[in-house]
Amino acid sequence: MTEYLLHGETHQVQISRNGDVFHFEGTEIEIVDQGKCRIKFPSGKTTTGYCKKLGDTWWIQIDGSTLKVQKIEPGARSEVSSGDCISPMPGKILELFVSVGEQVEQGQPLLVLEAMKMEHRILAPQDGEVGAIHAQVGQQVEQGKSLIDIV
Amino acid sequence: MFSKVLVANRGEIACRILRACKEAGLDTVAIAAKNDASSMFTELADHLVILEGDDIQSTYLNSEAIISIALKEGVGAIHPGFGFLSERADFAQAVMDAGIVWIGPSPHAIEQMGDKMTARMTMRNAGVPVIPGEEIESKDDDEALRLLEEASASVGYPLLLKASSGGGGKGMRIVRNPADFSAAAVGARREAQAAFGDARLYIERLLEHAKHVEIQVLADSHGRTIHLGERECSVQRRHQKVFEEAPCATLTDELREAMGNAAVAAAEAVNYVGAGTVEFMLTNNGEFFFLEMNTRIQVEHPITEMVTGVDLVREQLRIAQGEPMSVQSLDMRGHAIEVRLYAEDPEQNFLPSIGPLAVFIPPEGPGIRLDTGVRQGDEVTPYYDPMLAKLICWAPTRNECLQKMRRALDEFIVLGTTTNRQFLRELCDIDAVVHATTTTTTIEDVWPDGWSALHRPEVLEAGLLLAEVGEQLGWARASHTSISADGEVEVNPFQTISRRFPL
Repeated sequence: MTEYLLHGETHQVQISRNGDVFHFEGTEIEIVDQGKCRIKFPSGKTTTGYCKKLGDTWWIQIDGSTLKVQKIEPGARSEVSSGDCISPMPGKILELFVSVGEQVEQGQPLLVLEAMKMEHRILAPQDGEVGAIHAQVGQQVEQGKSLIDIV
Repeated sequence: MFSKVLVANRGEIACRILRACKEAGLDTVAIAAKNDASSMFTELADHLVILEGDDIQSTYLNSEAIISIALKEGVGAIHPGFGFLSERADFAQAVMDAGIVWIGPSPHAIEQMGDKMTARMTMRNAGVPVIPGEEIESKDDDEALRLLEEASASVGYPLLLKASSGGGGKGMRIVRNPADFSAAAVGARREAQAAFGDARLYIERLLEHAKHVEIQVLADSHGRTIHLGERECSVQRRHQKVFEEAPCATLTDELREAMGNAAVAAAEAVNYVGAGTVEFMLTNNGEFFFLEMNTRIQVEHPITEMVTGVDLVREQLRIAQGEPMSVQSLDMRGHAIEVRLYAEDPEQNFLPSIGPLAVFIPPEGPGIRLDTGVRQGDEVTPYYDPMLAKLICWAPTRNECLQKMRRALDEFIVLGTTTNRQFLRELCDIDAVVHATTTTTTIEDVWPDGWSALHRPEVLEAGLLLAEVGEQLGWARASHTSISADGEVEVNPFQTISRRFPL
């Protein structure tokens, strides 16, 4: 049994195998090639699903839907807490709108990041107080860097 | 006459032009920055020159370096594509001064249309209606802000701030409320300065619930100027088009004629030569206003090609050779739609994304065209525009064309980088698209709180199961047989496992 994270929810997944075919309740998965499977839904309709793991995330495309399913490694703890404002991509900080101790609301602009020749407003992920700011105006930041803690 | 062309661009448009040159029997030179040295377009050229320098100022925007490469390579003509140096009159002039053919309109025409103030005056003189607006000249930040504030009062709200020498949504802001004006103006000026080296802003009244309809024009140096009908490009996010179609389903023959004539008059007013686009805003009571003229080939040119059967890039080459255009009478047929596949996250306000294109399988079949500059295995980087591909469909009717686009987007597999694919697919189902009532605010109107993907429960469940199947079979670590540095073939044990499950 393995645990996965999808759209913020944890799922425990167990699957039985019968030769070339995996199945769970009414859904069947048959291997076509590495990263490619034929999926039979409980309705009987079939489709081809694609998957590819990058880091701890399975990128999956089935029937027009793209999903990112994150595998939870046993004992692994996230280094980033949910209230952190994370740099979504490499870029340069152009403006900071908040200071430490300030109350912010979810969706409130925290800073302006320049990337791909455009300015992007980075918004507060949740309501709270600005605990710490790890970036300065003019600074180049890497993707995934924690910029502002909201506590 | 020239026999060798340098393409001063990158990505999908470089591919498009290099292929057209090859078809025309012309020798080609591609230029590429170091971080582009293995990009797809470099494979399509007969000669490749790697540009020195690490940023776009010293590479794709480095007009001196590009002209000196062209001279060294014995190039007869330069095609600028779109973006980069394509609308820089000084570059066009420098190319011509170096004795090289410029594949585009004259520097004078670029200047007249590139400068929004002059363009508006030219249009007014040609009898074409223009939107109320003003350009603010000042270089001084404080003075510019004061003048902009003053102008905002006469232009009226809601209003639009645009970079004077810009395009592509950069340096652009919508302001609905006088209280937000100064913050927006500061941001727009800074973005304009960074993107175009020119902080000047143009301020104009924002026409809401209007359609963006543009006319493709073509003019040769034998005195012939024609239009090739319209494209509707209303559906935009971040002021950039994402869904374009030809023809515009709601345009009457009378209005098409009037807008076409206005566009031809606009081109003739500046002695235009080559391919160009005159953009209009069309209100729901049938009034149209000149927006701007793009003096270059446009991203969405393929849909015009699909419905007219005219190869616009090939015509650009022909016209630059001094020949008359080959287009005879126009015979529009069927309907074409283009969607722009971007590396961006539509669930995060369309923020650009990066990552590997680990799986990239485009759709196929009759009536489907893909213009792209990437292939599976490429890395999407933050250095360039995040557009990955243009997917174009053609069908006899609009409804069939939409059906084909839905099918094509469902078939398009992209894994490893977040894209707007599923957003584009859902866009094909919204009422405004189905009933052809799209306007420039459709996306905000339909998804006022932002978009999030719809997934069927059975698909979510199958996704979790597929991840588990992949884990159990060791696909996470598996790669195909690879050759190590010393030339020995390494056999991956996991590949052997997957061979136990043949089709």
